[in-house]
Amino acid sequence: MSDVLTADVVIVGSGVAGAMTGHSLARAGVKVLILEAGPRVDRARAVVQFRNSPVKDANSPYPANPMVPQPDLSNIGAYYVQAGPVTFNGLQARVVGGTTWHWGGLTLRYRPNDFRLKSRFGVGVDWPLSYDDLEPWYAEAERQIGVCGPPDYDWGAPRSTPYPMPPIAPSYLDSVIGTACGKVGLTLGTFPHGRNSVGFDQRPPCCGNASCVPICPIGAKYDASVHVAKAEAAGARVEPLAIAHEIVIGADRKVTAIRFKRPDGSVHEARGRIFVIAAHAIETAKLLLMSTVPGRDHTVANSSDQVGRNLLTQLDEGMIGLTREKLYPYRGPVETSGIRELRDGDFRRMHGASGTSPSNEGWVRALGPFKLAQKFAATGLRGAALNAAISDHMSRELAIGPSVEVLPDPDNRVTLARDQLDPLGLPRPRIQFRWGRYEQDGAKVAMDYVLGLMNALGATDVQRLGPVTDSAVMGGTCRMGNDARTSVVDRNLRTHDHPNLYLIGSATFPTITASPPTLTIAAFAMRAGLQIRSDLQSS
Amino acid sequence: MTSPDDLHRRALLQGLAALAMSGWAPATLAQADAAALTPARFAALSTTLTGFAYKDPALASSMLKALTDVVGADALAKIATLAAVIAPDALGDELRIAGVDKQAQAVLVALYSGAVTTRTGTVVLTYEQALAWQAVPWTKPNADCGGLTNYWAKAPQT
Repeated sequence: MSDVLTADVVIVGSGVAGAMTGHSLARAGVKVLILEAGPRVDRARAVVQFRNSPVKDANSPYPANPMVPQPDLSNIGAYYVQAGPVTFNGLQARVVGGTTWHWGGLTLRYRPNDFRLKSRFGVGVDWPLSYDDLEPWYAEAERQIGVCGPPDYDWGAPRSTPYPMPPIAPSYLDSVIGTACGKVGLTLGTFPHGRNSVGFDQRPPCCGNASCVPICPIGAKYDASVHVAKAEAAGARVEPLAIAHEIVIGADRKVTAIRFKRPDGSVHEARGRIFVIAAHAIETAKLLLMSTVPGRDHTVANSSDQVGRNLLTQLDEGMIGLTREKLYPYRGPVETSGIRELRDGDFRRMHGASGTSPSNEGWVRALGPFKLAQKFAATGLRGAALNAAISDHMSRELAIGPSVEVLPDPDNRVTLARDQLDPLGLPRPRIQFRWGRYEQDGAKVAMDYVLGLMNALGATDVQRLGPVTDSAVMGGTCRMGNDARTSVVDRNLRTHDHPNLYLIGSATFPTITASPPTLTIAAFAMRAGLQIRSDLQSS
Repeated sequence: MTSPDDLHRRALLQGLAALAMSGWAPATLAQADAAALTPARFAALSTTLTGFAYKDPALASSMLKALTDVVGADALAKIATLAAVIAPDALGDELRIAGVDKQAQAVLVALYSGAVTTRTGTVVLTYEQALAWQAVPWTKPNADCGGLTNYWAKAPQT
């Protein structure tokens, strides 16, 4: 028998976008239902799962339900149908709390110029709102997440409020790299984080577990399970293992229901007044493309034919080397400082901005000494000599590289692989991706600096890695804009086609930048929550 | 001219003789078997190869059983016997001559990583107690707490 669930607002997705929107509504007395495709995560069990995993990659603590597949770096083609020419590596965790479970925790704001690439630099597109429009919501998102940051540097994004917490200290590695940066015309700045530098919101301060990706064992790093719990405490209902597969449109173009499957294949329905799709860039587009509009020749929210297009990520390159001086990586949060330069400037007319940060994770996060034991043992070393070689190598490992913004391209898109279905019979996402000179030139400029830095550090065994698509950052596919002919949602994230359907998350971003998107997603979620409350009151 | 192999064999024979006099070594290498690989001998093997041994008896026992299954009891006993009597710098050659160098490499990697690779995949017996972490006392296994907030700002005491 099918269930029919009802609420004022039905939200698909329980990641940072869905959870924060849900919480902001539920605490205002709105009846909220959140449908999540994946299962709940028990943090302690997930840590055990991480420890027991031989590969220890981003999704290791979060094994997919067999009926709800998710991408995995060890086999990225198992879920995504890769149409090339560039392999798309964007990871998503299909669990309650979403992909923030394994985010790095950096909470840079986008800069004012990030919202006006077209008018300022003549490339990409402008957003339909400005940094100033979003600034108060950034401040609110920082309060909600719990952000710590440096009081003396704003990373190019003017602030109306101080950070809620004092900064996390840069690593010892940063201090060595910072000195070398000065020799090659670069400066290192301390990052803001969504991780506690002191006790905050009943969560403990970071104790440097060094496993931010894939999991913080103590919850010092924010993840969206925080706002899932707050939303539930405020009265929201969360339905795990509810796989949305169809948006039902009524005669007046309004959404009437979301149909969802359970892992047993049964079909159920969630009805409400307003609907929010917050299922990240791939799944949001997929759900819209799977849903038809009666009497129309396009799918839901897709009269512009923009759904699935302009998929965004970053181009990553990297360099590893062994520095002359010991750095002692494998300690502390994943990244604590970044290079200030190349993140914005007139050069964006010519090539992409980039964010470059030294990693505190060494060459091989979580498995460093194991890999080295294997390597050096093969050379015949044993006992004390082997241990000395492992320690010396690990202590001098530097990994650093830029993440370059990628311009929107309508041919970078998600479509439905109707010939390749998941276990529930739903089409897997087919992904077509490429990049051009703008991105490659941005990487080249940044990598020249990185090479200079390696030389200044007297590094040996230097190897260049990439280019690859970033695994942590993705957006686009449902871009926001003022023109309904060229965009999917308006500046309030309401779809142009359906007055009671909102899309929230980086799927709506017209461009991606050199900064991580999570704080910006949260700011938009806060803002959209207010708009939805206004809609409910006026309808 | 004396070859390195001759020197290794001489060292092996001298070592075996010494062990025989001590009363616990097998009389010949051929007689070595899994039954002879007691926890103490396994710990000795581990210490020779890595400098460390598993302190948790249950974990050590699990590792011994897993390695016995993977590399075979005879090979494991052979490796243990050679490791007990051959100097570390000569051990690699002797293991190769005995035809157990690949198995010895698998044993060493398993001891360091806490994981055993079987025909069906890799099984993690322990992550936090994997011996490789003892080689880098200035850090610790991922997901373990490292200390007070911001401890990472200073170079570790080494």
